Amino acid sequence: MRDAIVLYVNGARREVRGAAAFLTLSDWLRYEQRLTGTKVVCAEGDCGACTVLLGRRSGDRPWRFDPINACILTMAQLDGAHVLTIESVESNGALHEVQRAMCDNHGSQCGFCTPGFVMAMLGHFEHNPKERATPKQVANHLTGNLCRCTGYLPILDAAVDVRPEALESVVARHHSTQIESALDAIARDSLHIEDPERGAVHAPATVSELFALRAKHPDARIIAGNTDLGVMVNKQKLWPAGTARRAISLHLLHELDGVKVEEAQVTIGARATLGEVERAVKDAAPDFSRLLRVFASPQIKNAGTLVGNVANGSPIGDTIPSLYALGAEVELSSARGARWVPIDQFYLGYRKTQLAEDEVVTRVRFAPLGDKALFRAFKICQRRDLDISYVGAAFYLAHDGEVIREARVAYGGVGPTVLRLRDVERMLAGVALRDEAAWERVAEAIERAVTPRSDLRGSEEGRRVLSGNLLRKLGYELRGEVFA
Amino acid sequence: MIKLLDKAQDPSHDSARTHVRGKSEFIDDRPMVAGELHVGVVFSTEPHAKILGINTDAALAVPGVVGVYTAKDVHHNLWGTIIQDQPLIADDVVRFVGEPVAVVAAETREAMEHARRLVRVDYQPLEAILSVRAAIAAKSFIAGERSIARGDVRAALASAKHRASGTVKIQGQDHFYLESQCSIAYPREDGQVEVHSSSQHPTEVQHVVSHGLGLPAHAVVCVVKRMGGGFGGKESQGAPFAYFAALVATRTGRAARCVITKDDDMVMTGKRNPFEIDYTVGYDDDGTIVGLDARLYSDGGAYADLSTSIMERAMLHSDNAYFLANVKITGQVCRTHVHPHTAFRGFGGPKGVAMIETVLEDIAHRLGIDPLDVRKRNVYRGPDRDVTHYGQKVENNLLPSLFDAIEQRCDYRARREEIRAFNARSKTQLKGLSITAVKFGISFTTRFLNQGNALVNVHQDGTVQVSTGATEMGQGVNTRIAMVVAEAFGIGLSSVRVMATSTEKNHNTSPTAASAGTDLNARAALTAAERIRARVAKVAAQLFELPEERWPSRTAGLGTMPEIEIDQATAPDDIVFEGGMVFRRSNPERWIAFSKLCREAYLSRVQLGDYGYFKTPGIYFDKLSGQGEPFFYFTQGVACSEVLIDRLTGELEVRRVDLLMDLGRPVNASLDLGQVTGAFVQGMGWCTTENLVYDDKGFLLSHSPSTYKIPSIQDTPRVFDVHLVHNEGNTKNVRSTKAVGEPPLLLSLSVWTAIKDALHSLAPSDRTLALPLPMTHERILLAARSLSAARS
Repeated sequence: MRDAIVLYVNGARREVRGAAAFLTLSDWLRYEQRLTGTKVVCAEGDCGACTVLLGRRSGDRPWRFDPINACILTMAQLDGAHVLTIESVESNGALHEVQRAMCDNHGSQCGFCTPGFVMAMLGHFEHNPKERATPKQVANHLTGNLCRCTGYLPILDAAVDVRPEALESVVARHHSTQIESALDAIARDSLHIEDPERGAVHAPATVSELFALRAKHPDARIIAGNTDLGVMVNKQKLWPAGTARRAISLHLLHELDGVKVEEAQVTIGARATLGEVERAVKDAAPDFSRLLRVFASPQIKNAGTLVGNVANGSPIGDTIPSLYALGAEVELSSARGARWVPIDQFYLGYRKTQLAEDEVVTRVRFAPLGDKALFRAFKICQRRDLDISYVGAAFYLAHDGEVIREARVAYGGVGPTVLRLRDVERMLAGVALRDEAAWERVAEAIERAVTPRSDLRGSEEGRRVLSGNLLRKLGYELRGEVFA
Repeated sequence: MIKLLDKAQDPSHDSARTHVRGKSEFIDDRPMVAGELHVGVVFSTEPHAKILGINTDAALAVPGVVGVYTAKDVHHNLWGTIIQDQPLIADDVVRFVGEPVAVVAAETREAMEHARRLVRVDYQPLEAILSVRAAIAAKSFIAGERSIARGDVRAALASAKHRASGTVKIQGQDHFYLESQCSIAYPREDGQVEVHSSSQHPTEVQHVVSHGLGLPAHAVVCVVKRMGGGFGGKESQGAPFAYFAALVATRTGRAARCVITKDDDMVMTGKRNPFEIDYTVGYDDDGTIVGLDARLYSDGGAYADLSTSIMERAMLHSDNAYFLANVKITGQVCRTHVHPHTAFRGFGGPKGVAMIETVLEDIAHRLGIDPLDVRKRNVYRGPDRDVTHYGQKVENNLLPSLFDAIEQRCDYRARREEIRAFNARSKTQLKGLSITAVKFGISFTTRFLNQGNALVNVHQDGTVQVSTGATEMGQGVNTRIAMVVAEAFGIGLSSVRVMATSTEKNHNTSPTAASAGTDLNARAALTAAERIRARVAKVAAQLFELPEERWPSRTAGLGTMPEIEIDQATAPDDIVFEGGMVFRRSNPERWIAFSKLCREAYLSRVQLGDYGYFKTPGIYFDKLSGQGEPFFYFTQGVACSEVLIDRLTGELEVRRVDLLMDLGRPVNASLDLGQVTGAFVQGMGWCTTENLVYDDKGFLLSHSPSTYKIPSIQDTPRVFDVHLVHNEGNTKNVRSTKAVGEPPLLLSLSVWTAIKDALHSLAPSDRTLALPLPMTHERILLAARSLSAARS
C-alpha cells in the first residue's frame, strides 16, 4: 500500500503526499510547481485553457499521450501518469513548430487561451506527425478550446501551416521506456491517502480490493475520468470547502480497461474512455460512434468514461437514450457476484439507480446492429458542438426493408429520467418506412408522450416540438428528402 | 471603385512568443510573496433588500482567516465612472444579486472560500424590478431622457405611403474574457499602495482605490501589464476588485490577491445592456425611409456605470449607414435590480444598428423588394443625403461603393436566386442571405476623454522604451505603438519595447476603449519620438561636420572638446532615419548607426527622453441638443452572410461570410484582420448562441461556459473571406489609419438578418417577424414551427 502518488511532469519524477493529493492537477501545477503556463478559466472542462497532455497506459495498449483538462482531474488520478505541460514544448528557448505557426499566423491575441490551444494542437500532431492538417481535422481536434479574441480563423490558419518536416515530438523529448517501467512498477501497488481535513482517496489495485472498499464505504464516490465529480468539487456543490470527502479511483484497475467488440456483443469496461468507445464501435454501431464524436470535447472524451456517464444517472446523460435504444445491459458487481440489468430497468428516478450499496457498475454491453436494423441518435443543443443537449433521442428500428418490425425509442431531457416510449414503439411496429402520414401520427404521439420542463437550456414547448421533430427528421432522412 | 489591400505579413503581436510558450505573466501567475493573502467577495443573494445584519463570527473562526470587511470599512463608499451612485460594498441596501456585501481575507484560498460561505447576511426583501418594461411602468430610470431629432417626423410619418411599427428586443451579452476579474495589491512604505490589475482603465482603478481608502491619488499606483481579454468588461468594472485587494493590503500590511472565479465573475459583473426599442417607420414604394420615430430603452441594471454614454452611442448609431430625412431618436436608461450593465465592444452602437437593419429587412419583405436594394436606396450618399441626424457630414464616404463591391464579390444576385429555389424545394432546411453595413463613429462622445500622453525613453544603446496610457488586452495596441515609434526612428521593431501601463508613468489616462487606443496613444508617442528625433538629428548634422576622432565618444571623457550644442542650432532638413542608420539625404555614404548616435547625444547632454501629448482636434457634441460633430472620422465596412437552418431542430450553420472593411492605411494589417475576425465571431455569438438566462430573482443561471455558449471553433463560418480595402484618405489620423476594435462586431448583425431572411421565406408579405436577439436554436425552431403551422 502506497501513501504517495507517483507521477512524472515534463520528464521529472514527482511524489505527492497528504493534502496536495486532493488538489486539482491545474492548481497543483500552478501553485505547487510554479508551472503557471497552464491557465484556469472555467474550472469545469468547458474551455480548454488548462489543456495538458496526459500520458498513461490503458490496458495492453502502448502508452498514449492525449490532451485532457487539468482543471477537473484530481492528483490521485495522475498516479502512474506522465504529464506534459506547455512549459515542456519549447526546447532551450527555441519555439516548437506548433508555437512558430501560432506566432506567424497571429493565432494568439490576449494569450490566455493560447497555451491550451498549443497543447491541444500538439496532441493532434503527436498522433499525426506525417501529414499537413486540414481545417476540418483541426476544428474537430480543437472543439474543446474556447478563444474569445481571434474568431478562430488565425488559429485554423496556424494549424494548417504546421509543416510535418519541421515537427519534433515533444513526447519523445521527455518520455522514455525507463519512465514507463518505473510507473508500471508502482501501479501494481494500491494507493491510500488520508488527510484529516480533506478526506481520503483510495486506488485499489485489484477488483476484489475495489469491492471490499465499496462495501466498507458506501458513501464514497467512485471516479474514473472525474469529469463530472471534478466540476462538482470545483464549484463546491458536492463537497464544499471545509468538508471531508472520500473517493475511490479506478485508475489502477486495468481489468476494467478497454472495449471488446465481438460478433454477438460489444462490451465496454468501466475505465474505457468515451474516446476509446467512439473509435472501437465505428463499425458495430456507427451512429453511436458519430454521436460520441460530438458528445464532448476531445479533452473530455480522453478522460470521461461511458460507464461513468451511465452510473451518474443524469436525465440528460447524452449517451443514455442511445444505450436504451441499443438495448444495452449494465453489469453491477460486488463481492457477492455480478448481475446484468437491462439499462431501462437500471434507473429508478431522478439520479436514482438500482445500484446496491456495495455494488459498482463494471461494464456495459450491447449487441451490434444487424443488416436489417437501423439506429439513429440525435443530440440537440443550443450550440452545435461542446454543449449539453436539451433534447437527446435515439431510435432503433428493426425492419424488413419495407416495414418496421420492432422499434426502441428513447428520449433524454424530456422527463425526470431518460424515457423509453413503449407506446410509441408499439405504434411504429408495422409502419412502412416511407409512410409519411403514419410517421406524422407517431411524431404527434411523441409530442403528447413526453413530459418536459423548462430550464435554462430550453423551454417546455421547445423540447416538446423538438421531440416530435426528431422523428420527423428521421422520416425525411429515410425517404431521402434531406438535401443541403 | 473599391480596391482591395494585398494580404500583408505584418509583425506578430509583441507578446506572441511568450503567449505560445506560456511565459506571459498574468495577474494570478505572479508568485505569491511572503504573507500574501487571498481575498474573496461575499455577494448578495437578493435582488433588492434591506440588510438587517451581517454576522461574521463563523467566518472569522475559520483557521487562516485574518479579516472580514464590510461597508463600514470603506472610506468613501460611492463610485461610478460617470455618475457616482454605486457603493463599493453594499451598505444598508443591496440592489442586485451579486452585489458585494463583505470582503474576506485569508491565508489560503481554501480558508477564504470556506469563510466566504459562512458570512451570514440577514435580508428583508424589497420589491425588485427585473425587466425594462417593469422599470418603465415604475418610472425607474437612470438620468433623464435624451433625444436627437431632425425634420418633422410626425408629418413625415403621417404622409408616408407605408408605415410599420414594432419592438426590437435585444438581450445582453457576457464579455467572457478568459481571464476573470483579478487584482493584487502590495502595501508600500509611508501609506502607499501598488495595485496590479487586469483593467482597461488604470486611472479609474487609481481613483476608485484612492477614494475608497481615503488616500490622495499620489499614494496609489496602478500597473497593468496585460489582460486576458477585456472587451469593455474591464473598463469600469475591474476597479472594485482592485479596491478589495487594496483594502485588505492596507488594513493588514500584507500583499493581497483578489482573483474571481468565472462563475462569480459572471454573476457579479454587468453585461452588454439589454435594449428594447419601439419604433414607427414610414417609407415609400421603393423602400426609401421618409420618417423614423424610435424610442430606445436600455436596461442599465442597478447603477449608472457607463449606461448613459452607451445609450448616447446607440442613439448616434440608429442611422447606421442610412440617411434618415425626418427622424426622432429618444433614449432612456432604465434602472433595474440586476448587475449594473456596462461597456461591451461596440458600446451602444450594435443596438442602434440592430434596430435599423432589422427595420430595413422588414420594409423589403413587405414591399417584395430585395433587401440589398432597399439598403442601397437609403445609404448615405452625397451631395444632399450625407449629413447625419446629429448634424455631422459623412466625409470620406465609401459606403455606396462598399455595397457595390460586396454585391459583386460575393455573387449576391446569383446566390439569391439559388437560395430562393432551395427554400422552395427543401422540406427540412432553409437558407438565408443578408448584407449589412457599418459606419462607426470614432472618438469618445465625451470630449475630455479624447486625450492621451506618452513617455518615450531612448537608451544609450539605441533601444527604446515607450509607456502610454493604452492597455494591452490582446488587440495589439502595444505592437502598433511600437511600430509607429520604430518607424519614426527608422529602427527595427525589436529595438522598441512598450512597457507595462502604469499611472506613475502616465497620468490621467483615458480607458483603452472606443477603439481609440492606437489613435490617441500612438499619436502621443509619435509626438514624443519626433521631438527626440529632432534633437538627435541636430546632433547628427554636427557630427557629420566633424572627423570621428573629435566625436564625443572619443573626447567627452577627457573634456578636451567643446560640447555639441543643439539648443541654438538650426534644425537640419535632410537628415534621414532609416534601416537603423542616420544620414544626410545628400550624402548617404556618411552615416551613423542610430544606436551610436544615441550614445553621442547622451555624451553631449542631449535629452533622450520626452513626453508626448495628443488631443483629438475639432470634435464637439452638445448632449442636450443632440447636435455636433462628435466623431473624428467613421470606420466603415460591409458583410454578406449566408446561413443554413434546420427547420426541424432549429440548428444554425453560418455557411459563408464575405466581409470588406475600410481601415484606412493600417499600421499592422495582420493584427487588424485578427480584430475583424475576432469581433465578427464575438458578435455572432451575441446574435445566435449566447443566451443569458436569469431566474425570477435576477440571478444569472447561465454563469459558466457549460450553459453560456460563446462560439466555438466549429461555429466559425465555413467560408470566411475577409479583406481590407484601399483608402488613404483618412489623413487626419495618425499614419492615416482607422480604428478597428469595435466596428467589425456590428457586421455580425448580417448573420441575424440572414436568419430573418431565411424565415421570411415561410412568411407571407403582410407578416412582420419580430425576432429577438439572439436567435438561439430554440427560437429558430419555434419561429419556423409557428410559420409552418400558419402556412399549412
